[in-house]
Amino acid sequence: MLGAGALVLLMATMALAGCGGGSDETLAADVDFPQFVYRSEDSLKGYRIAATYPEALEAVPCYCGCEQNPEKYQNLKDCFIDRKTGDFDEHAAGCAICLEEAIDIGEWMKEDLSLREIRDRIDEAYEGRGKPTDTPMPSE
Amino acid sequence: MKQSAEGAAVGTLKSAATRPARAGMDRLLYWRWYPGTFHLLFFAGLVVLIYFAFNPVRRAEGNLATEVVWKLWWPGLPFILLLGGRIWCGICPFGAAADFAARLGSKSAAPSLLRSWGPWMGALSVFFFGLAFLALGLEENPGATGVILIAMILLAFGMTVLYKGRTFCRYLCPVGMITRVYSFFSWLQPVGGGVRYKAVSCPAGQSPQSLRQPSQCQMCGACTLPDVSGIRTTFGVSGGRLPGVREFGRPEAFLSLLLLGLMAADSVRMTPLFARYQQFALPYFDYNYRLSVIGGVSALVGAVLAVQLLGSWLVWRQSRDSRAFAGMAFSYLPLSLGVFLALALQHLRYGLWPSLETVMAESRLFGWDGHMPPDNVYFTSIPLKSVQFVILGIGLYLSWRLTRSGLGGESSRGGIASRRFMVLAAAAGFGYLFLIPMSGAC
Repeated sequence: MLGAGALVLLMATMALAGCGGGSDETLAADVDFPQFVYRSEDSLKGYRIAATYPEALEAVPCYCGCEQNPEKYQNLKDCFIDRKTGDFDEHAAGCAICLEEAIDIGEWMKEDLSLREIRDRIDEAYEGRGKPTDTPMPSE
Repeated sequence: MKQSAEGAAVGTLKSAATRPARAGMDRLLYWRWYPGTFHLLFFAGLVVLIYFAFNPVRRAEGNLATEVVWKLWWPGLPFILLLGGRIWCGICPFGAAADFAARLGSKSAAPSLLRSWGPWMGALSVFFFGLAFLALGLEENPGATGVILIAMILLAFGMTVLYKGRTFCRYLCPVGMITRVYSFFSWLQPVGGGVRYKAVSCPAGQSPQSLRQPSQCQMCGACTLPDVSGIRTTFGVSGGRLPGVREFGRPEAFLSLLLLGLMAADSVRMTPLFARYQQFALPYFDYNYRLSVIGGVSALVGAVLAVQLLGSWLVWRQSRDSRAFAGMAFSYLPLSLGVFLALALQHLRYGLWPSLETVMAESRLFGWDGHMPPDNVYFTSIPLKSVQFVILGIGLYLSWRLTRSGLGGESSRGGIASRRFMVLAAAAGFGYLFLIPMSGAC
């Protein structure tokens, strides 16, 4: 019966919700994150990537518009980790662009790319979507 | 143009001299191009949204499909519902797919199993819809949004190819189920056209002449033909009308409680309590974010159901009211509708302009420089909170009034007191949640 089929489809939606939201084994899982990190799935994923690959985030600019405050934000890592205190910063938890950049970096790090290649990819993907921070180009 | 009454019509006796004057919404419903014009427009819009859902220009700043569906249409729905009843069901693009399928050949009646269990399946579809909305984060998930939109079109079309009438809209569409139970409190109410003229058959299985179950009327335009006497509408602020046993039975009562639980879950999601819950619960779900959301929402909805079952059992013990469960569930509807409206205001207040910016940017007609997110995601806006509490207060007042009558006539004093305690407890819970700063990021 089609009605039962519809119900199965809806249950499949629930199953879909169960899949894909799992923990990525390659990322830091047991970091003692502050509460704001848990606000959304992307937020948790982004901060875990920031905790796992801080050097990669430091090598790329942030395109969210945070360049308006150059003392505080000089690269993508600064949106996740306060450059003065070293604590996790709340900024990225509410910023879709910061999180999207971090998630892209997390995917590309699995491809074993160099920091320079990551930087080139970020610049190519995000150019025109906002003004970047003034981040020095990585040497390697 | 609207399909002719010929064939579907049993017959008409109307003449130009006796044709009643149409006013207000009736003029729209009896317009010869209703609902076809809207169907064409909205279906074309839906196709564009599905395209953008799978071909996003950008994700972070907002995707056209998710912005329009979840940040403009969804928060707009309770206001449309309050002002225009189930008018959305009439012009809905999924209904358009069903109406198009209805023109393809002869069909059999819906099987008895579907007719018996359909309302229960509809209630479950609302639960799964809410679960998917919260667990998949549909507001930021264009792919899942696209899949759901396509699935709804296919189901609406497929079920109408097989069975007579708007079967999907009547039994399985989660939006249709939500609009149906809240339509009791709409300012616009459909009423039967009277027995003076014979009318066409109704895709929702009603008689347009008597319309004994007005909440089933989807304002689909099947009976509002220029030469047929179909439904009429009345407009006025009402405190809700009391439905009959067949119009609001156990499945609808179950749905009302599910909605109460889902509204509570959505309210929690907007506050910092949600992050606190996830921080606590994620280790128990092997850091699977979506499973943790599903677990939390299911637990909350389950708790609401359990408390209400206990409460209605107490009412039943005190008053021997056979409709204690349905009566109690019905009295919650104004309160949960108030929460729906208050949450929608929160979304519109903080999401409307960013959503319009996204729509403009995606159209490529305007530039986009990006913007910094706010320093704090959670806000307390006194004017907004004031309006939200007024809406919640009106919802509580209407719910309080309904506790007196229930659905089975006057109850005992003990029964009324129990109902009132339950309604007050629910209202206090929502009041607490709305006192907490809520997310502005939607």
